[in-house]
Amino acid sequence: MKTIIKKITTVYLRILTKIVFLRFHPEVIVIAGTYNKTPTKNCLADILSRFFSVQYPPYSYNTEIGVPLTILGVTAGKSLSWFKVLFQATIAALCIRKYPDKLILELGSDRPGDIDYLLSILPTPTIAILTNIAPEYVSNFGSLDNIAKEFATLTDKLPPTSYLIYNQDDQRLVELAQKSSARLISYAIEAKQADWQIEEVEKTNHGQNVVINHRDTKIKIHTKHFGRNSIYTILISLAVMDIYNLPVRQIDNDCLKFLQ
Amino acid sequence: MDNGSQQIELSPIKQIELLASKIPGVVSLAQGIPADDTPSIIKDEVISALQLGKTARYSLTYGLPQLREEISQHLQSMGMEYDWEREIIVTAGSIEGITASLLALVSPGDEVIITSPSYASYQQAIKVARAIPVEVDLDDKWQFDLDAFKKKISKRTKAVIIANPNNPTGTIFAKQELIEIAKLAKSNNFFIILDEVYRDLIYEDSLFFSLAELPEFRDVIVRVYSFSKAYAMTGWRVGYLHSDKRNVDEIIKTHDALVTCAPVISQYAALAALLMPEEQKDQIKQAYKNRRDVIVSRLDKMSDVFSYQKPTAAYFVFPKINLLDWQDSWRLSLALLEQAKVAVVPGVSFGKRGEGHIRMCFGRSVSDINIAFDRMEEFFAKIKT
Repeated sequence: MKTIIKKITTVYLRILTKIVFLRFHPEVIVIAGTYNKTPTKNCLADILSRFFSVQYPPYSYNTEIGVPLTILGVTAGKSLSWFKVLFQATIAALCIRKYPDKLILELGSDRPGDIDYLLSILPTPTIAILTNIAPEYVSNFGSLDNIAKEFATLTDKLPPTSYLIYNQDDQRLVELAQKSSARLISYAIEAKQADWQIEEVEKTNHGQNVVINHRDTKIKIHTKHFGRNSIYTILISLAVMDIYNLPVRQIDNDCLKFLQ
Repeated sequence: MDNGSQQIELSPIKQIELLASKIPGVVSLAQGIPADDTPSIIKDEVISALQLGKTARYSLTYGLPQLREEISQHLQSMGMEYDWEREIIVTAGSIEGITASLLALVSPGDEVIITSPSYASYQQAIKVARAIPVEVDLDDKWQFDLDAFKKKISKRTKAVIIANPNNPTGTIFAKQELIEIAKLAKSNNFFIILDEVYRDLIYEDSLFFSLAELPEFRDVIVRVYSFSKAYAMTGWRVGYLHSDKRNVDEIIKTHDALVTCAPVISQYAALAALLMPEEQKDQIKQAYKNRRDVIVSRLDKMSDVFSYQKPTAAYFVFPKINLLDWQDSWRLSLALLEQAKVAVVPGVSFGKRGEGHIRMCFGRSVSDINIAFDRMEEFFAKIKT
């Protein structure tokens, strides 16, 4: 019974999503990968919201239900009853008059075909971000290479007008990028000669200070967060800011603060 | 043959529960087990994970990345910054996290300070690590006496375990005293194992402060949390710990040796718990607060027998026994069990400072609390005549 209700809900939300994209044409930024999607989304949303009107999921909405809800702007909480959700979604699809300039979406993938389905309800992404491929759901895919194939459904569909921002430390992502027609932007901590390249990392009790090399320009950033993934988030954020030609110096949040 | 385990006693809480299980009709206010079932929203997510075949294999020793990412986000919302990849370990409940931390950070013969009273199983966990528990008495309001604490620090002191909110007292430690202890930890090179399993059951939020919010102490603090209490998940055995990478690099080795990884099915339950709607979490807390008010009102009617400090957190009250003939808390607990059929935990189980007290858990249903107090009133009426 629950499966039938879920299927009906999924189809209904898909229709509503299509209506939104017939009426409005926001730029779509998608974030895919095994992990680090939500922190990256949070950081990007905070930065881009300072310059544009932006819609993004409040939680880790990244499934066939969560992505349409994000598009429809149903963000009242984690616990809305389904009738209320569908009512709000319908009103949003049919009645809203203004839609944000940019839409940031997380694309989750629990099993083969998930990414393909999510892309089928979206317009072509302006920017696609690939974080990594790791053994989170290997059991449903059989191997890491099969997970890579899942993400290939995204990279293969990107036209030359789109940007693909990818992690050059992940060899499988490098291979996917090489086959994509999109404009490529790489970032890395370990691999060399990425477009956004880490040169130094200094850990303190208050976070991390990093030196980034971008086209022979050094950028010094502080982040309150710890670990490699928070550094990747900085690099992705800088790459997106560069695409939109936004001033790095103006940003001061937990995720990144320009040092000099 | 002298086995190491001969030095370790079964926790008095479990001893009481074992005795209680042999007596028909006992109402237990002993072990800290919530009366309620795990919320259905958590069980539904676990069923889904099970059906999708996600639960059959080990996770990484650190735990599911998705869960650790969510834990890291949750910690950030509380002002704590930890790298989910290398600074967070999902554990098989909090006591496994504490034991793994002690095994990793403390050497045999080292001293570990615990408050008296404090959670009874700390003593056993310290002994598992072949270390020596050193009790420091709390004051009359169950707060730290810093002078007494300083006197307990020796060259062999390697750690202090602080339960905040404290079990069995249901009280919260003051911010300034915690900071002073953290400074002492820094200057004397010992760790603070900060057990915050009752963090979500605080009835007066403004009182609570976590040392893990201060980044300057991150290298001496191992913070431990459990999903058991706030989410009625004691049987799932899942929690987490976090600390600076340097400490976690060591703890991960003993965690691996002890359990390989936390039960994966329980890790999915933990993930669902973290994503549970806030209003549902508030409802759970409110239910405990109501039960606290019930037990407190019943204690007020027995003021000739008990005096107590009103709990501001957790689900325990730790009343002092006012009857001079019944200061032996084991004797009173056994009498209550055998004659009134009410299980409580003798206060001395939580340290010498706990003698003359008993611990009652109000995690049980209101009905159980009322039945237990009806029986105790009858018991004390009889012994006074």
